[in-house]
Amino acid sequence: MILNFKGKKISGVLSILPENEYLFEDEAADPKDIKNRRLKRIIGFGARRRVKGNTTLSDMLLYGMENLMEQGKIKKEEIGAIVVSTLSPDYFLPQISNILQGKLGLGNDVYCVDIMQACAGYVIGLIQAFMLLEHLGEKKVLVCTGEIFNRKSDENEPKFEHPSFGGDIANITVVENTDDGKNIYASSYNDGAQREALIIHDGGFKNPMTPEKIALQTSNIPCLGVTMDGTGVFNFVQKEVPPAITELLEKANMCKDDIDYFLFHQPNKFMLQKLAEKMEIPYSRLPMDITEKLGNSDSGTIPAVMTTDVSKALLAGNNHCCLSGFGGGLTWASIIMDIGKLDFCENIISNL
Amino acid sequence: MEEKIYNILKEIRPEFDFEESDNFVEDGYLDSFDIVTLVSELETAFDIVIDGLDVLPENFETIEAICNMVRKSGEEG
Repeated sequence: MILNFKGKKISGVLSILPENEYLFEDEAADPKDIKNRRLKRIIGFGARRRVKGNTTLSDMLLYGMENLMEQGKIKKEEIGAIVVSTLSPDYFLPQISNILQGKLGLGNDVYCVDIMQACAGYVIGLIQAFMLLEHLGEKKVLVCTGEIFNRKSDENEPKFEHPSFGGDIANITVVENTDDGKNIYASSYNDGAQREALIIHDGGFKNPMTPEKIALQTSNIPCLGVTMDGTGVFNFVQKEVPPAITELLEKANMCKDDIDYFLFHQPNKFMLQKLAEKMEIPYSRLPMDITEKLGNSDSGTIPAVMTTDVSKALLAGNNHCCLSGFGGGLTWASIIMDIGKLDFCENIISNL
Repeated sequence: MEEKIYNILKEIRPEFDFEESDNFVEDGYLDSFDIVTLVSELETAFDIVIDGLDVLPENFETIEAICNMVRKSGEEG
């Protein structure tokens, strides 16, 4: 579906990074192995972050929100809604948004909702925020994203033959109403028939964890890893994302050259290079190095691009931006909107 | 072209004899990471750009399929 909003803006983005950083060379059993060297060059393996112990996403988000409040960047009474989009809940019940509302001592009238979305989670979260803002007046929405996918139970575990590229991060985006009257165009599409292409089979009610499955775990997260049809997902992205962007540009009466930055989900460098080639977008306007700098964090990658790669531009002035998230579901969702001049756009390192 | 591609395949997965396989993907000779690597190596070796939509398993199943894709990419480029 296509959506059109007016008079909404992103006013700030904060990324919260765990202080522990791991380099591909340190994690790989044999970093000089030719396959590993090729993967590093082509896929973009590099550094990724990992939370300590049993840190959860709500711990990271709470750290970020308290930081924002201490800095005077958001006040408790300004918060009208918390939207959390993640696959890393603290519990099945309650939601992370409820936990944050309670721990921060926010009013009982704050709207709280968690969305179980993967790589399109940031865009879907923003769309929810724009809809909520129709009813929130001067109050603001905090769109919270990120994942805890890299948590380890034993730091001394054997090294990987080929390390993964998932990284831990949390992000808070402040969204609010504005009287500038600018249009925002958004689209969201799904193909649940291809749901098996990217799936976490175990850990839910369909396939609960068993002692045998728990014994197979290599990380300190409550489910087994992602099963992915790599070429299937790759092809889905190449097939579906370019026409969805073209459609949205037409709705906005814009062309590709009008867009300053294409802020896309960051699964890996290769996929984004191929997407840029397909869409005939210069690499300079489609940042693609977040997997290399921080790892893939699903709903966390687009705000990570904003705070890591284009923060100067977003702080300095207005930018025509095209955001797009694509992955599990299968879901692909995009937004064309102006972003800037932001009140803040930065990374902070937590001790979590 | 075939010999050049066989050499690339052998470099990516030296443990397999690709000339013995009827289907590189079904036989497990090439996984998705290998296909990504192969695309990159083919682009460099033949100075071509392979369309993302052509990164499908069926284009990597046999030496003939890979040759056809390389030729197509060369013509389009």
